[in-house]
Amino acid sequence: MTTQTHDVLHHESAATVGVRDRQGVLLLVLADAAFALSVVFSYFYLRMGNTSNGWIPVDGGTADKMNSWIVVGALIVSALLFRLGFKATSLSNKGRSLACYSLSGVTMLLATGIQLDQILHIPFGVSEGTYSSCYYLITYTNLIHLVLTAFIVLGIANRDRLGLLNSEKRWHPLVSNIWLNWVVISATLGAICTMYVK
Amino acid sequence: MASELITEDTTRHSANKSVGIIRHLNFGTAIIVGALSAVTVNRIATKLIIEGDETWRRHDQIVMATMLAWFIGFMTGIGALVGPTRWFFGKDLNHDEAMFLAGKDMGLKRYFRYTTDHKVVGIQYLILTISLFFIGGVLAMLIRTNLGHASGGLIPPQVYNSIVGFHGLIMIIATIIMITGPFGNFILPIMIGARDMAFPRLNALSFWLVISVLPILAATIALGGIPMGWSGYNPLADQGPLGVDSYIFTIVIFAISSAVAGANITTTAMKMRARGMNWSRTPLFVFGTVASVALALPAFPVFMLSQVMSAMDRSFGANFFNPEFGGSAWLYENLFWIMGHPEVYVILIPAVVAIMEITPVFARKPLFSFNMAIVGIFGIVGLSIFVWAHHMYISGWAPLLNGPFMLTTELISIPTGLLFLVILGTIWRGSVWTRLPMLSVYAMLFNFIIGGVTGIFLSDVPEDAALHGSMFVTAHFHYTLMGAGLTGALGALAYWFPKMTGRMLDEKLGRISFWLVQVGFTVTFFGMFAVGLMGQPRRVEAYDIIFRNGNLISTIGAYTIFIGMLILLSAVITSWRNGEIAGPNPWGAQTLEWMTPTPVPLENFEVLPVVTSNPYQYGIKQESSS
Repeated sequence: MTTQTHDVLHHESAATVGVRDRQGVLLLVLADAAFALSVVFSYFYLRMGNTSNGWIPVDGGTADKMNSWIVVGALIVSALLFRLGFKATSLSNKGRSLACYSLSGVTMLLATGIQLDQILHIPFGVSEGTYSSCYYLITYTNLIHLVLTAFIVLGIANRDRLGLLNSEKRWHPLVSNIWLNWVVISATLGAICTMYVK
Repeated sequence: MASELITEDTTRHSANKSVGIIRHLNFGTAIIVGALSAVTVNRIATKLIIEGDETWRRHDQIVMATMLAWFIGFMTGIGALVGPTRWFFGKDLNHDEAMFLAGKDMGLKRYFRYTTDHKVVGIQYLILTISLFFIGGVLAMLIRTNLGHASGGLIPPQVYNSIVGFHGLIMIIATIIMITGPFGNFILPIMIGARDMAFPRLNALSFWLVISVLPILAATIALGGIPMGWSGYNPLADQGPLGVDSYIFTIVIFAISSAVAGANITTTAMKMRARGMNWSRTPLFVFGTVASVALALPAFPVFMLSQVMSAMDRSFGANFFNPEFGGSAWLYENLFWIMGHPEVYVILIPAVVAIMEITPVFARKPLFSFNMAIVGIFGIVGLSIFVWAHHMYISGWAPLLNGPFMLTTELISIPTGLLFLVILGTIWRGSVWTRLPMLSVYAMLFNFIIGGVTGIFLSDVPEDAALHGSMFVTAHFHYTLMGAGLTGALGALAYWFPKMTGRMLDEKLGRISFWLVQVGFTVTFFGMFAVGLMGQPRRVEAYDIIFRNGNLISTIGAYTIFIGMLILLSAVITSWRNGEIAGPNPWGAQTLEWMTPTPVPLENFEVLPVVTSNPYQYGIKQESSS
């Protein structure tokens, strides 16, 4: 993406630039993974510590364990559609790729909406114990992931619509696909955490 | 190909009209948009956020919202969002725009724009680093002046604590970027034979992210400071004034900047090396810089998370670190030190490899054991992930792990020792050309030995029980971060100054500065070791009369350092403006950055180089060519 500069100024091939893009995205995923794994570590650390018996809210209210999995489900559908779109781009099947990317984008927006709705209806406040603090942290960080990913997926759909993607120029969907897969894994980690409440 | 490109550019460059909105965005617009956003959001937040029982949380929320608005406004105003927005709408950069962003023919203005040329970013980082060191240095002088008297009194205790924290924070940021920022950006791409960094716009982004938080960092003073110190320990930070919000915001943005820079530098080094530059022909500076940023890449997000949690605790009443409601102070300590100790090597490794780059050039003989140096660098990186809890021996967290952490910490002296051996082996029986960069080599060896050996003392659990929290620890980490790290960076500055500015650094002023700084440094921190061994705790603004002499000596030494640094600053400024013109390769070095003309052209190389040998063939080059 930022490597357009190399493409335009230095006349490097799309493949040369794309390999770098892939490497860069993998490294950014590494950084984001460190953040996500720290969240998981903190969740279980506080759960096991249960200092002053303060893990669960006093009235015992916790979130529905299925909530996070609904978002993960929508994310998986979006990621699969995106992958189908990428395969269609590789075959220069523009009609199919555009349909898949667009549906992927819509599903991603749906996942974002579901996540936002869940946040607005969490049955406890952020200060009611460390479980609630962790739950808010996980859902909010997931929301940020979803918004960013929706931007990327819709951007790819739009670029496909404009005819900027084909079997030669497929590096942007490829690296976006890596990111999308990571977002699915990250959301799954969050969902696994929230299964272990007590 | 390059000449074709230049011809094309001269015909098109005047057609700036096609450059669009990018042309209008610069540092000025960034400040205006940032300030307007901050004021607007501050007013809206003040009206919308209802005053509840906990007034301080409302204030934290308003301050956080204001800082976020400033940040988004600033980044919009500088042009950081132009690229992603245009990518989204499928309007990719054309040639004119790419050239404009690269700062072609823009003179000094390019330093105040979202310029993508790695050399501009390198110079921007250099100026930033010098500025941060100046501010941090002035704060150090305030601390030492206050400690010149046993009763303190010059600065009120709360303000003193904030100054210590502010000094620590600024110096940590400065030392993290002091090599990878200026030299990692300016020198590394040329050193590997590349035309630019892998992600030029991300390069500009990493720099302007840091700039965007400087006003927020400065606002710390007006918002009550950071009396809990630079480590931001919780739950102390939870109880701190609004200045802590500035601290939190600064750390979060700095972590993002580090991740972006880390991904960029690593990708550049891994994917853009010149043809023929396999790993055994890659200069050590590249290995060290990549090791440093790659170590920072997973380490800083952990610290970032601790600050996100801290922000939630302060602004919304979350309980991550408040033991009364289920939180844990140990969680914060773990998250902080999982970043905190690798960070020491994030700072040190680039400094050591810069010194290793300098040594064979001035010893005029091949580097002693390239492979040993690689083992040393990656041995440090590997072990540094497993040493964090030696900072927590006394905290009571997992006492059973004290032994293993003592072992890993002491083991790290082995790969560090290998790096020493490489430098000493290179100097051994060399025809040493003792110019300014080489003086830094000697000084770093001397200081790092003291810093390293005292580190082994502190890694020992019983010893640490006695010395933890004392001035001895302060002296130890100054010996490593300043004595070794900063000295290495000053060597790098003296070495690469001719390439970056086209002029030689004034040798005479440089030498005066060098001796003042090194003598002052030794006096300052030997005094500190002494009072630390006698039992003086750190972070106190007044102390018992028995520590008076040691502190007075330290203060005299600190003033000597400050004078030496001011002389260096004047040498940098005067040399940059009127110094002796440097040729393309004044040191007779063999790495690729010295094969380009000075000043380095926009695309670095007219024709991309092909590498056929390792870069340390000093003293045997003529034989092979004949």
